[in-house]
Amino acid sequence: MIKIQNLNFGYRKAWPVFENFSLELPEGKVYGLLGKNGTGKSTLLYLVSGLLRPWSGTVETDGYEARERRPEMLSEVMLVPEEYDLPAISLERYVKINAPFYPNFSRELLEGNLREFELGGDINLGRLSMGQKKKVIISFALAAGTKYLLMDEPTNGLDIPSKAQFRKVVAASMTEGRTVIISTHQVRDVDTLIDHVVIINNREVLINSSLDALASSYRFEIRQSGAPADDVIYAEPSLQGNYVIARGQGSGDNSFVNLELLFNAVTVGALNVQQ
Amino acid sequence: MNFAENQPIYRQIARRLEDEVVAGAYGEDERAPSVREYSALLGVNVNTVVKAYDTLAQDGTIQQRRGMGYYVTPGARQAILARRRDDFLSRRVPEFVSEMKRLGVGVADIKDAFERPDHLGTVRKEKAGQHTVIAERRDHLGEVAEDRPGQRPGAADTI
Repeated sequence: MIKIQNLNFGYRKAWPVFENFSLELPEGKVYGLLGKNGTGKSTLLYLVSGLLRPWSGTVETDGYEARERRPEMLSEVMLVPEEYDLPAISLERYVKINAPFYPNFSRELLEGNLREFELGGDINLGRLSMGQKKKVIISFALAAGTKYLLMDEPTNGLDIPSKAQFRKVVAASMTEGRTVIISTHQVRDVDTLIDHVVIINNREVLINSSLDALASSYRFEIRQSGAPADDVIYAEPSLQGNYVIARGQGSGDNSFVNLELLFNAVTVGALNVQQ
Repeated sequence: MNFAENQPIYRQIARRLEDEVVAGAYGEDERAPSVREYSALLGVNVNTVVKAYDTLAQDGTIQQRRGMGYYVTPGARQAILARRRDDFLSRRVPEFVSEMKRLGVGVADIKDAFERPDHLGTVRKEKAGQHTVIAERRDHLGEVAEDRPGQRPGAADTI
């Protein structure tokens, strides 16, 4: 469980990123953390992993105060930052240095992930392209077997086939009780992976809901322009007509949740769902 | 796998497994892929696959055997085809017919298109390797499925 209570934090005194911000994320789910640029998605991940400390309020990860950075917590939390430098050493050596911090690290998983990403052999981390580095770090992070896996814009820098590979390795490494948070603005890359969506905007949580709940309360569909729109909450023009979010009729006939449309609707204030 | 936006993903996954059962990729009484395998294969959240399998189990396409995973139910193939035929006749044919009426297309035009050999050829080519599916179709249409795919001149092997 990740439990954030009355969080206040900013990089400059005059400009808080979070004010009295609270959020609880129960374990065992894949969360999509969405928000416009500069809304604090990355900051939130750093706070949860203990890399940043709140001005006030608490951030608890797995029952530990994240700011204390206790080894018991750190061995169960893995963060994949959006950008990073890898040392110019062999992967073999990198693993030897870093794997001991993670008691559940699996060599077999690491190799499987690298294979899926079509990386193999003797890898020198100093000689990789940005996309390849990303693949290595994601492969390692998934193989570390931590209870919490936080990924910041993981598909940035991946080419189109790699994005499908990414979805496969993440899906394959989801084990019972594991919590994954993927922060992204490229919702299309992760929309089959996540089962819960959190949208933050202007220091507020605007959506905190499972996709299932959204799918049964709302309908995401194309409507001809001119069709009745009494139940429409939000509409965007598309090539086939209007792509709309409408109130569901509780038929239990679940809809495809279009995260892009949801995101746009939420950021213009058309929708706010808390569960 | 790419998913369409007009249907929830779990339905599309269920449909995909049904297609595979119809095509014989998973035979009756054979083990279906585990939830975990399917989720990794498709790059989809495990819970979504669980939901897809729940609907497949409800429809009787697969059965869970304790400690052994999911198995394709005997008779599942026929049942899937029967359901799809019903759906085709009750939902798609009426749409098709009203479109025919709107455009002034007559039954004779359809019959003509239906009997055109290159039309059948196209179907056959798309379903290459799935003989049984074609036999099924033709049985259903009241035709004798005597010729085998690839034997009709210029059908299966042309582009």
